[in-house]
Amino acid sequence: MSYAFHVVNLVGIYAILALSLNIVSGFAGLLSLSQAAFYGIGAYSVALATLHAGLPVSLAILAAMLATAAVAALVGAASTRFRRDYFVIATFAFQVLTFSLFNNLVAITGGPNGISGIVQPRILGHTLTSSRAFSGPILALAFSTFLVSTWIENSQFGRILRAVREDEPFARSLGISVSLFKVSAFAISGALAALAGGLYATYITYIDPTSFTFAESLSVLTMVIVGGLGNSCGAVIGALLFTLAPELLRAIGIAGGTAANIRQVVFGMCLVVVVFLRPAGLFREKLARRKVQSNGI
Amino acid sequence: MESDSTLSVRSICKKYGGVVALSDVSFELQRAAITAIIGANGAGKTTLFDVITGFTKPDSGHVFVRHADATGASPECIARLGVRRTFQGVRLARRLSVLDNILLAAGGTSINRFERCGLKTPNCAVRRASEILAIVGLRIALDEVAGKLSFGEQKLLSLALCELGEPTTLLLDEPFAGVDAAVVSAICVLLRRWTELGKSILVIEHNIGAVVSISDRVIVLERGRILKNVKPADVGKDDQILRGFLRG
Repeated sequence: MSYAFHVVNLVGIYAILALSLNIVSGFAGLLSLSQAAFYGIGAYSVALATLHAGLPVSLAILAAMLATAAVAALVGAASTRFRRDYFVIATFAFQVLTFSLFNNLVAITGGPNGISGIVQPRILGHTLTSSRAFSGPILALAFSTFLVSTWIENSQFGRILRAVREDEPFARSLGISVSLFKVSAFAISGALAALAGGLYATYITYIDPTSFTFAESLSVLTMVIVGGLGNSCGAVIGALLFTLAPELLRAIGIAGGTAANIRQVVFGMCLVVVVFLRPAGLFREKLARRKVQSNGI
Repeated sequence: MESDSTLSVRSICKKYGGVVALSDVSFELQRAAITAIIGANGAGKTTLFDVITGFTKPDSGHVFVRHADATGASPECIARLGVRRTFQGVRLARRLSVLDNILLAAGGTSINRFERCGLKTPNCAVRRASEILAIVGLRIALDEVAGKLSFGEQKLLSLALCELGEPTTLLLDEPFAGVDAAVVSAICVLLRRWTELGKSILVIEHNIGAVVSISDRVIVLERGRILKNVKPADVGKDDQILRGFLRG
């Protein structure tokens, strides 16, 4: 039973992560390869803030979200100066740089040994320790993230992000400060990725750099693309599919180590199949949105 | 500087490598008047638009919008100063609905701008857009994806969107290119409406007949220089203009 709750918790955490990336890659159309870096910064920030600064977990997660939003805004400001493939390379560079820092700043991050014994949250006087106890808060936060994402999708802010994605000169000619909105998208995305990272750190109680690699960034991007870029439901479904797939492989008797490798093969195969059959993803973006009462045509 | 001037261009120069795109270009746009720019391909017409709207920085010279120096300002700043433009070919958020495009053009960067534009709510913005679309006889569903409209419809929509930003000056890059006679007359209706509303309009156009019929002044550009700045009636009479225009 606790295994099932563990899987549910992972789905929740990855759903938050996929939704966070969808803001930058789906709505704003910026294919970022640095989401695992923000996820990691969030996780390490929470670990350090609870263990060394003695902050309660909830405050540590909030602080991590703010700090990561600031870092993401800086990364966004720098990387969005580049176009298309150069932008992707810039985010890749940040991902590699961050992983390298996690791995080599031994005094702070513990290096390859990581950080263990991360504090778990207390709610109403009870410390959450079991997978079952964690599932409620994680799912509640995943659902809240989904609501935030849906709100962005339907707001003027989301509309502007999509306009920037569709035609930047057109957006600028309407008076829209394109770089400001790209940086804002990065900041919000970074904050939500940090929320996922913080939850992961406090839930697993141990983190090391291998959880925040380039491959992880690529996995999250795959979830969003397969689910459907620009569609909040798609991001959640992508996270669900790609978290459940290795667990299902485990259930049919494939050893854990092999399952992890097969996961990569499944990722690749899914990408190819989706590109051929549903290039816009399983849940394509809703292009024509809800009507405002028009009283006209 | 005349008080009726909404936009003024002073001694603009722009080079791309060794190629002179604009050289000492100066003129003013008056309120409630249409100025047309004609010239052969490569004369510098679109570069001039790009310089005025901040998409290209001039090497020297100044652009004044309502007497404020806007030289080198970003396109978004220029747009917020009340200068809206269209592009050669149509630019829209193509994979967004007509409604989304309307709300973008009316709302700009924040929902508060609906109020600043006198469009109290998104509903008012839609009503205003519907009125403008009705004026040009465009009947399209608000939930239609903009990119799926015909070229003429997209062109009319992009022009209608310009008005939603409550601009004082409109720069239209070849509004009559690639559209049929019905759309041309619809665009002429829109241009007349804008002059009645007191807006300044600068039009790049190759269709000399249309230029003569709609404009109040005609500027002839040749190899980045202003060859003539004349009344439309004089365009057909001037051999130098015709030679300059037909060159290239």
